[in-house]
Amino acid sequence: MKPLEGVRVIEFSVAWAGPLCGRYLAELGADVIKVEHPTSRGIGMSGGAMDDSAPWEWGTLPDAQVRTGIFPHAKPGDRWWDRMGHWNKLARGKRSLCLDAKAQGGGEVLRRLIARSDVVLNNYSPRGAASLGLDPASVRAINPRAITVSMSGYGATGPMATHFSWGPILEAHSGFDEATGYAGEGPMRIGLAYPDAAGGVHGAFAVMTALWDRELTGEVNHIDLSQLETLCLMGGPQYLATSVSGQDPERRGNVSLSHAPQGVYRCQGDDAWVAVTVTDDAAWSGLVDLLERAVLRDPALGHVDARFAAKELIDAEIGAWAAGRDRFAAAEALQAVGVAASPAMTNADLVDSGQLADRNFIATWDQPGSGVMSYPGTPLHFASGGAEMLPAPTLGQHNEQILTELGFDATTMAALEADGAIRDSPPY
Amino acid sequence: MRGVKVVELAGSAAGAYCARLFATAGADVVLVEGGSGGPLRGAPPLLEPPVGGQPGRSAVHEFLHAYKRGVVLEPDDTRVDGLFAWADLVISTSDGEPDAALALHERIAAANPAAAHVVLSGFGLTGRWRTWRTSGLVDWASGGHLFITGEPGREPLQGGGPWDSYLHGGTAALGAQGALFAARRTGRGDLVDVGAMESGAAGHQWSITMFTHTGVHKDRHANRMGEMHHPMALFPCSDGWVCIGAASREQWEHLCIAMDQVELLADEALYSPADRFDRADELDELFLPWLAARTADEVVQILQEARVPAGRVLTMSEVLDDAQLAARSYWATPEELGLAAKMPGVPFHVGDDLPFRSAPALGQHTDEVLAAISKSTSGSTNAAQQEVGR
Repeated sequence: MKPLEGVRVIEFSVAWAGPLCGRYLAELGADVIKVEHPTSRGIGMSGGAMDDSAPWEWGTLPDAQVRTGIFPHAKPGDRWWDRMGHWNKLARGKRSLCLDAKAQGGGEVLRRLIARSDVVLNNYSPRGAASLGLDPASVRAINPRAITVSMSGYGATGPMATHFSWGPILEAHSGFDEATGYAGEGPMRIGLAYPDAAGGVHGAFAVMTALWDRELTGEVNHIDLSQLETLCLMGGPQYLATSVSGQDPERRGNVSLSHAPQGVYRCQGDDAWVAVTVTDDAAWSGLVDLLERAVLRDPALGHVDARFAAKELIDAEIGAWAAGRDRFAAAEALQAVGVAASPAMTNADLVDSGQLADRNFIATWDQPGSGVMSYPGTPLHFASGGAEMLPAPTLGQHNEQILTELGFDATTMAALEADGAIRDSPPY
Repeated sequence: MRGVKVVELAGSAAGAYCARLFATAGADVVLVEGGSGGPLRGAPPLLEPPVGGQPGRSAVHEFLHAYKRGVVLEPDDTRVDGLFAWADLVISTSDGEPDAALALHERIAAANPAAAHVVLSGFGLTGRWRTWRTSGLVDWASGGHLFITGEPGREPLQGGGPWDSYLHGGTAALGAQGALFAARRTGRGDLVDVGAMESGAAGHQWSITMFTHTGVHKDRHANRMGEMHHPMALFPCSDGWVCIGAASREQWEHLCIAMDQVELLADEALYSPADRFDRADELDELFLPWLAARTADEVVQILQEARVPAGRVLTMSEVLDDAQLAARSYWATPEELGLAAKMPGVPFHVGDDLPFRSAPALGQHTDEVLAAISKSTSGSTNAAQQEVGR
């Protein structure tokens, strides 16, 4: 039995943070119904058939017109909205109800859904959520036991509550970009929409916290989660130090505040790198033995302060050692002498990784509409049993099943379809 | 997570972050350190320098161990087993020592079969890299976030803090919650094994699926959002930087109008976010003069009024003075650390407000906790319910 079996979640979400939150809940056994507007799949994508006539070869960037969907073999197909790799990764294990809640009859479907749900999750703007009746007061009026979770960018209160945001804008606001960068140069963003990853994880933690409290105390909570605030939580020590010293963190490239040496060193091959941290004096001894360089055998370098002072010398020695080595072989040799190290893993490295294969992290399944494809799996390994990797739903795949569960008969379902409240494709 | 009793064995920042989430969610978290203190007590940045052989006052310790109680017990002390018997959840960390982690789990299970146990490590407790050690930088590298951050052709960059380690802590907290829910039903604790490498890999946007679906190697794109979107990027203005993100068709239209570039609307190809990325240099030549003529605040105001997501790039000092966070009472103000001291308090609120509690002095609650445990007769998860019911 999975931990959240029996828990019913309805998820109203776009982009990444909300879907990631729902995916963790689904993975832990909740019945997560993704309630989707017919045109909601694919940010920045619209229209019907896509032009995929441009020549394309495996391993090259697909033509811009079809790239954003990350389609299998760059082919959108007739139902492109069911074939988006990124979307399917985030929706695995969920059910799909394709609902236009503002069409005739759609409001009643939504009402019945809310009435039987434990959690109503959204990552819309506060205004958008309220317009659909997903605000706590509206939900409670239908179901007093429903936990409501809103995952907006800035939170539902405060002077920026109505601001429009994406993850990178929240990252800029957090101070993280100002703290990141090459020494002596300008601010740098992280190479992904980092606040979404953080928001999804913290959102799922918040949902389970509210569920736990409800089971133990009977209290039903609304959680106004600000993705800015969950991101900022991860910068806690830096804000505290800045508040006390008045000094902002310096941009310092790959240097550590506490460990020396530390760096990212170029290896053999194109754009190949190994990340290295000597975390203690024993590891330093191991490194010295491995590199076999007399200049590093100076006993004074046995203390971390001296190693900070000799950064250029030590970096040059490690750099020269790494330059002729494969990045995996370099990391392995360093780890063998107790030095923390890893290749700077590329996306291809992760997919081909023996370590991740050993742990069944990269998951393969037959995705309806896409065929057998691989996706990132779960980082949560329970000794009692592995998580089951279930496919993502096609748009509206579970309409009939869910409407039946909600007590709608065939005649009413047909009327809902005729009125455009229930669909299994966008109205393009 | 009110009513949940958590034992945190002092270790990595990831483990401490995981435990802090439970503490701010209302759990009773007891940090167990040896007599010389856990490894985070001296971790920089320091608020006060080391004096007379004593470690300085660490911002990492003060933040990560806030809201917790602290006891001093050596690992082989049998009273640690008493703590395991009391706990619903044990949080431990392993730096490349999976056998020791598994032996610890057997000890926990012997003391309390109902206790959940989450182990945070760099690479997980199984697999060919299970004995590999990690660090903040190595966490960035192993999960793949390092490689895609920074400028193309140059050395890839870590984030400006150990945030991937904290993401690892947050991810592990989900596994811990799962094990707690399961234990409440089955009466049996589970071992949850969560590695930083996979927490990072699971936290990718489209990087991994881009390779599995099209064979494309993802590169670094500095301050642009590689391959898919533009603008979703940082830009200089007259007095600082802004981040502008126009992803949807409507946002692109509104951006062009707001920036006096309506002629771009006639170019149908530019409605594709990826096409805009391919032509980002050309577009930036149009955007940059408009931005250079305005302050960051002016740019944000104009674009937000046009419904285009945009925001300033703030320093951490500016974040500390930010009106939005202040209006939501985001900051805890531990005055004993300085009159201006601020740290993030509770990240979201469930139930009543949780009062701030400073990180414990070494062994501050040893007597109190051990006395309470000696009175405790059961380590079962039912104890949590009894506590809440009182």
